[in-house]
Amino acid sequence: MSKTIPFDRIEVGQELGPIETPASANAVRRYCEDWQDPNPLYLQDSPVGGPVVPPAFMAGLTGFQLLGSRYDARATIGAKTEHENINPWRVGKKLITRGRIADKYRKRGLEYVVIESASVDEDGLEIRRSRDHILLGIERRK
Amino acid sequence: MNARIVVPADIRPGMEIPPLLKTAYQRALDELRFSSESIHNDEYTRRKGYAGALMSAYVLCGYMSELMVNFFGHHWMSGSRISLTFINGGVQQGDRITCHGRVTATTECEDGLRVEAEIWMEKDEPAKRVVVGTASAVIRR
Repeated sequence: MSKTIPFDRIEVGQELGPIETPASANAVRRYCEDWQDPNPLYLQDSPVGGPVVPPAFMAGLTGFQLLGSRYDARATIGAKTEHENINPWRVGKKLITRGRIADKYRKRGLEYVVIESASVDEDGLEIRRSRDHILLGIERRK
Repeated sequence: MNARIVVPADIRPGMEIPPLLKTAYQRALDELRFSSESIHNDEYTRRKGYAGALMSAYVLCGYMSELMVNFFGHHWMSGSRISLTFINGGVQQGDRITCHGRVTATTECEDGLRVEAEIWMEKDEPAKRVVVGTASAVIRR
């Protein structure tokens, strides 16, 4: 069982966020260097007009950051993730993500929560929807 | 990075998506010290039967997204979906990994061609799948 997140006290339906995430051209360039992914879509231009933020740039924002905004999430680990990319996130725009605890469950002695989230840019354009199954810790419940 | 834009006429069920080879790297695992109960702590995860500190799932999701952007180009940025399950003990810093995909279906739709694929990630040693899932995107006319 998780020692850092009390499973029994997790409230399904609880709202999480918002979290604001800027995506400056410098941050995107650092990302491309770290990931060795110098795709011109991110650094120069794209057919949708101007550079876009790499999809992975926001992957870590969703369930984990939202859960971490309310609980000590240091022992958590991703079990399953689903994303729907709705519109491109343009470099320079701030992303605003809100979510909720959609479910919690135990399976084979391990505890999980499900976080649903939606992200819009600073103009209100919907960018992404996500659903993350997060394992609260690798300690099995006795 | 594969800058080639996929041509819809070339896409058929069974087609292999060009694989992506990477050496797994997460800067935080090099630069930060993690608490004794963190899945990023080497000693703790080894005690629990893993090969070492686990890389974040979002990094693995990022590699799979890179596979998709390389194949679909800008079409991946809107109207696409990805679903991933993380299995078999995950990935450790420095592992050599390969992301794979195979087209499972194509369907003409109002906007263009919807392409569905099964996707997975393997790590070399020992050889095993560590991520499995599905993806779909519309290649617009």
